[in-house]
Amino acid sequence: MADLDDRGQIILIAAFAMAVMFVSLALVVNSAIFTENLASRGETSGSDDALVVRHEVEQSVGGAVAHANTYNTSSDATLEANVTDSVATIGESLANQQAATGKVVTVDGPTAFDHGTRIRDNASGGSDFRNASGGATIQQDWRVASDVDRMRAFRMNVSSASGFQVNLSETAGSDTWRVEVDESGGEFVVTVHESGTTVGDCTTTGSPNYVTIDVTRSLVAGEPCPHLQFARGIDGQYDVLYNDSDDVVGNYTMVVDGTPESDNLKSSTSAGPDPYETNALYSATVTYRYDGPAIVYDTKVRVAPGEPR
Amino acid sequence: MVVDDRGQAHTLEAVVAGLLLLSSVIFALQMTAVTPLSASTSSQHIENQQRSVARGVLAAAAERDSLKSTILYWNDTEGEFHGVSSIGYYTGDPPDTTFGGMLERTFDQRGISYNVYLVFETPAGDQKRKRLVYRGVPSDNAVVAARTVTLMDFDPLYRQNGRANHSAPLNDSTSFYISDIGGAVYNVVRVEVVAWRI
Repeated sequence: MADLDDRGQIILIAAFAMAVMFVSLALVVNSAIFTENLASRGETSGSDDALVVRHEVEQSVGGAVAHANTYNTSSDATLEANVTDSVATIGESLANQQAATGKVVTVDGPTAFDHGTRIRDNASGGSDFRNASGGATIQQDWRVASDVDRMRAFRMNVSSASGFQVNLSETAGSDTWRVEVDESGGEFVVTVHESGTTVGDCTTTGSPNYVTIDVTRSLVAGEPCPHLQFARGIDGQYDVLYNDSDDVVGNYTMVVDGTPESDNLKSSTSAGPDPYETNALYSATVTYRYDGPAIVYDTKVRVAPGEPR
Repeated sequence: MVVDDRGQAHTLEAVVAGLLLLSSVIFALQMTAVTPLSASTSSQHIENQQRSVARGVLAAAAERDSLKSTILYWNDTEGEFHGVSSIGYYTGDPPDTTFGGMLERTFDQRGISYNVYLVFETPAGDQKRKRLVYRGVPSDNAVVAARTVTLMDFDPLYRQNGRANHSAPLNDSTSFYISDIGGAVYNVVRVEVVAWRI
């Protein structure tokens, strides 16, 4: 009888120990599930989405600025009114699109504009890059703009070239930055010089009929060109000059925040071979607010499409 | 005799105890929870990965302006996308644009299927959804990534060879599937990629 009593105690203790073990096991397994759940959630606050939408705003407003600079250039007020109108439409549509995914996006403005000048030669079929016959005689070496603070969206479309150069030289100092475009054996070579020293060159592959050179965004034929770092080594304001501009055929466009050399440029759009200047917006600043489920992001976005980074 | 009987019972008991021990070890080994990181085709980790990849493709295409050229890859005479079957959207290969090529290289070679939708506003203010690439109903574990692109009035339609046709701006188009919502802005289009493992 005494034996049986002893056994009962042992069973009781064993049952208790097992109960404790099962409870702790459940805890361990649960915490493992929770940890892995956290680990697989990725970025939780939604800040990457806020930045993606910001980038979309930047590209959309950039398109509106480029559109106004091309089609609504009659005066600064027209430019501003056009961009303001576009930003309102973009803001409304973007808000509707984002509301469908549970976010409130507000785009207002623009609150500030920077004015500049767009200089362009869009002769059909291309022309040489010499200046316009205005107050100055036509020459192959000429000044495009002086006292330039900033410059963006400088693109050239070149179908033949031999030794054509774009020179940037400091207004106050003596540093220079130069891009030379050559064509040899059907390939285009873009060479970069800084203060007289050759930095390197980029060559197109194959034998294309033409090459697009995005000088401010460092692209040659759409591919990144590491040597082409716009205005590297230039401090402060600079002048933009063309040299041997009769040795090139193509089109170009640029937006400068500086003083264009009006003697060398036509003052209104022209389809002919002469370069011309028009009123332009250099940049526009809009306010952007993102209300997500876990984040509020409120900032000003300055938009200057094609500006060097 | 009594002792002999006991020996037999002890042997049986030992065998049963052995079996019990073995089965409890097997039971303990089986006792792992199905967690979000457990290997399976519906793993949360794979979904995260696919969503990131889809976002990356959209970001790269937006940076190269190729989302726009894909939206505008339109044959205005025929009133349909270039090279599309009579059904009106791509079912096999994606469109022959940079974005289409990116989708093909990223997803098709890895056994991932995808649909691409274009969501835009009608002049009445409703949201309309058009299929660009459609490969069937997505599985339960599909992921979605989206990017918004703004079209302007004078953006050109693109030719079949992928070049912009500057003499055919959106404004002059007669059969384009998106309508002008007013002003210099033509419309704002959301490109949605839905991807899932097959």
